[in-house]
Amino acid sequence: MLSIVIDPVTKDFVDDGKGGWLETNQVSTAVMCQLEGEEDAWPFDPASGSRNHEIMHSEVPEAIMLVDSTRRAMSALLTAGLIDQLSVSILASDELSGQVSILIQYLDLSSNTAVDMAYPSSAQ
Amino acid sequence: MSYPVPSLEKIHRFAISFWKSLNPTSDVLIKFSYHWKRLLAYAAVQADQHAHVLAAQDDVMPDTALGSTLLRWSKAVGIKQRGATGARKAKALRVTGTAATPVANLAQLIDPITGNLFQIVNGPFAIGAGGTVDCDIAAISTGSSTRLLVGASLSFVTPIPFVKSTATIVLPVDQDGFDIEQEPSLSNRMQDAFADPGTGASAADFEKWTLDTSTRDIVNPVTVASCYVYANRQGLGSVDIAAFHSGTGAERNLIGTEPTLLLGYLQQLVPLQLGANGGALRVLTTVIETKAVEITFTTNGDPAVAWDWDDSAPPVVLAYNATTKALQFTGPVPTTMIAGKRFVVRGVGSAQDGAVFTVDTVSASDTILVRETPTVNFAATDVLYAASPITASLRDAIIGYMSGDDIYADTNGPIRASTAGTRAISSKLRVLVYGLGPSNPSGAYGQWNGTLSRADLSAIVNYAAGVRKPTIVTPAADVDSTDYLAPNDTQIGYIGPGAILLRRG
Repeated sequence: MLSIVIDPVTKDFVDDGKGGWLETNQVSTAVMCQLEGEEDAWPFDPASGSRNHEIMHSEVPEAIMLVDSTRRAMSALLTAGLIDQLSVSILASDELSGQVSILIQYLDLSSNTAVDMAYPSSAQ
Repeated sequence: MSYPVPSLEKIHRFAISFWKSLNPTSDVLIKFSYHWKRLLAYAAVQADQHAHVLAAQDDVMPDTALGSTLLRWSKAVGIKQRGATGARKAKALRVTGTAATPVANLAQLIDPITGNLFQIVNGPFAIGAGGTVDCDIAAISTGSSTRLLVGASLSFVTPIPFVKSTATIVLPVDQDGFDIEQEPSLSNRMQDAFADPGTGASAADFEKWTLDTSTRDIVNPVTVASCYVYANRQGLGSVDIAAFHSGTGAERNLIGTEPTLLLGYLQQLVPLQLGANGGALRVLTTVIETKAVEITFTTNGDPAVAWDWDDSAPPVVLAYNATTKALQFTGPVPTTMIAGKRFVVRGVGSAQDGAVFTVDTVSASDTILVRETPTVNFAATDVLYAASPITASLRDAIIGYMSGDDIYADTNGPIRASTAGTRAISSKLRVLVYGLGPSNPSGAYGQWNGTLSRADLSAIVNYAAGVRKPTIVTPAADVDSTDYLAPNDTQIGYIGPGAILLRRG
């Protein structure tokens, strides 16, 4: 099944160069929706999304909270059978600058691809 | 509308089906997919549009219109929303000062709590030999906040020499004092106008003219709360009007020149042959016939409605001291009758009205002190019965019914229409029992009920949660009020509340 590709930085659809939007059979769009969506914010599915937005915009983002929030959000995809072998760990945590990033690793079951991704992405 | 409005879930499934038929390979079936989320958002917008259509459907039909649309409908059929009114009451304001000092008519007073303004009306009055005078009072301000309880204190805006600057309310100021008409009431009147649009001289026309504050720019000089139209009572072609103020008992009567003023106003509106002086149109003199009601009932054991104390051996009054409010019994005070417990009194040696009183203190083995001051002092042989938490509200509903108020089926029990009108009730309440109107033997003159009905009394009491086995002790049979015959047929009788006693069955 194909899902539309959303650019993680611009949040735009991606032009496929043939007059349409780029699609993928990977679970990356669902992952992005889970990570970027705000938990308790959407009345039709309050459990969707994560607290990541809130954590990243707090005065001093805490890496451990970001890990917890991300793991909870990604676990929904794990339960739904979309991914496997989920691992979330701290990639960098600089208390002085307030910069934190985490590493998310999972196996995308729809494409049988191992994914390593940094969050937030470096361009964010 | 025959179109079945789909739920949000159905609209979403519909959108998903469309999307899948357009783009079969698209991932749209699970809630984590972007398309699933997007289509749900679209479906929500569509559901909102459906809701708007439903709301518009309600608005375009007069029986369901609310808010600004209700006002438009009402205006279209010539019904005006009644504005807020100020409360008033005769002999309710006790002014203290030097004997014989005049208290001017229209002297203004202010309620220090609400800031509402009042004025003395039907004056001037003069301080009596006892140093007080009870004056008629009417609110200048409007709304339910102008209703005052006994004990409230008002201050003169401009001090009067030799008169105390504050005056006290000695009777509840509870006539009129309504907030702006609530939507359910306006909707009902507007629907009545649809159902009976009037012919220029139908009963509905007379009722509308009498109740409206103005018609065709002719101002109604009398504020009328309820009105009943008698056709052919004086002979073929005649019309008699019985009009009432709001309130309880005889205070509902039009007073002084009001019947004449009302007649003069109506004569400008009615057909020519009725409009002439001495013609066949009359505003009747209403004559109250007070009737006692005694009802017994049991409760279902719910503590919320349980009797306050055990009155299986009801105490009998031996003596009452009006100064100390000490009430002495012929025997000991029942052990369960302690401070804070409520009771009602059957007047045997005195004329009691069935009001609820409270034990302030048990001051001796055979004596209690009463918290409230009775309207009429208790006397030997009067009998006390226990009250329950619902006694006062049930009694108020019965008084309302006997004062022409419709009784609504509120979720908390029966409630007077006039009380409902002072509360922010936005939902439409069902009428439990229609209020008593003036004499209407066998329904000869219209559809209103002029008979004190045991079935109505039973319905009111039975509607209260927790009430079981209501028994109407008094009256023993339904009671009609008097339809006076010529030459006294300028009068019409109506039933008002006498002693209303509710006690354990």
